[in-house]
Amino acid sequence: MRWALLAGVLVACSPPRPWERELHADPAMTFGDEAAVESSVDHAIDYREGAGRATRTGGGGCGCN
Amino acid sequence: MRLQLIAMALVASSAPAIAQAQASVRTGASLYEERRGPLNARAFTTNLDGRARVSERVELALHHEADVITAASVAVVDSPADLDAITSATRMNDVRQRVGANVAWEGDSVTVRGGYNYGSERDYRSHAVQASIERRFRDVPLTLNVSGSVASDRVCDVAGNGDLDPLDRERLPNAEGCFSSDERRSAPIRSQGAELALTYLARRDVAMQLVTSVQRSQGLLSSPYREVWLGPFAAAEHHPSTRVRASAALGVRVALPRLAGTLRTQLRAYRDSWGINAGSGEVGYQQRLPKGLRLDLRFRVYRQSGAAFYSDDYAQAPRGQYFTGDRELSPMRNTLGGLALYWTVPGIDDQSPVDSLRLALAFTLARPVFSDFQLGTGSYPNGFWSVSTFSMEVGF
Repeated sequence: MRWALLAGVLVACSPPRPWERELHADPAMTFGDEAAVESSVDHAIDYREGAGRATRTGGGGCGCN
Repeated sequence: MRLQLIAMALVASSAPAIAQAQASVRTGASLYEERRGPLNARAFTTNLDGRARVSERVELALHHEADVITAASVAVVDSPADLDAITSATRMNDVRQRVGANVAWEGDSVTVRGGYNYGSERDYRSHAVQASIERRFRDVPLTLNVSGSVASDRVCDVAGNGDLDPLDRERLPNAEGCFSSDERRSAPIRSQGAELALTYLARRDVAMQLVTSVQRSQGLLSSPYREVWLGPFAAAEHHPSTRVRASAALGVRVALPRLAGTLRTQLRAYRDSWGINAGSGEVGYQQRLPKGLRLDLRFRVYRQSGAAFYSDDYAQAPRGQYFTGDRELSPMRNTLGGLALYWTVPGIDDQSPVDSLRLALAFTLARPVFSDFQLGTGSYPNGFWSVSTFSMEVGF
């Protein structure tokens, strides 16, 4: 069942050719595009949840308070 | 402020060195507020980023960030001698500065980036270097990004704690004398992190991203300011000196051209060597509006288990050799909602030195619930936290 579902997803995928990517030019389709807003919220999440980003290294202080 | 002016001057001075250099400056501020009665916390952050293309393939970027923080810290968690630990919490103030520089080389199908960051606050120093390589494939719409980072930090602590048994260690009362007095020591923290990100354009209207990451930290990983009541006495919080964290996240973005919108979702799983298992799910929607405006909505839920050594009462239920008063190591959940408005200012004159102007205004509200965390016999105020953000980006 799981493999059938995965196969269905892959069949449904039809990668776009370069001239079919106009929708991907929209900033909302780009991962991490709104860094200015996302970084301030991510920073708070890092310190207010136990599972902050695993790649955060350095510069953030101990967040001890 | 002076560092921000220097950063801006460096970016501005590097821009005209190369003909037709492209540059942008982004500045902004955000206010983090935690509403938890006497345990309220507030952090006001300003940031300034500048980037300039100094040749056809090379881009330089500089970054500065400053936080002004006021917060409250419970001195001894669960102490019966202090029946109202919340109202007697010590208020603390600090200023955190972070500066960084990055360079990127962009080839036809590969981009290589490298950078350095320095962070400083009264009780903490940090040096970190990062590097990444991004490969864009020609035959399939796939981008692979591999990145790594190494940090060498130092955190302030009571001088004698390094030689004492954990049960005899005392907490740091405040940040006075840190990095200057013989009564303080600076304990090392070293971190290494790696991340692999795959971005795939699955259809003409669907983009997917899989991100896996792992991080290892070693050193003083507990708060030097906090003691925990162990029954007959209290001792400075004692965490394992090594923590390995791993996470995997899958994000999907779907363009909805008929609605002029974009739907996005992300699922993330997390596990670490302290026994915390966590998962989060997020859904968001961005709507294009007339005159360059965009409205963005976000909703996220998060849940985690507690650390293996977490106990709400070490006097009655100890958990081996480690003890913590950290609420973020207890079982918790968090619900978050956000609203953002983006404006790309239209109709900028061709003769203007400014190519683009983009503004952003955002507000995020979160409701954490600590179901298994109490201070002595008193309940802990779950409260709310919020982040208000303003950002402006100018392209030249």
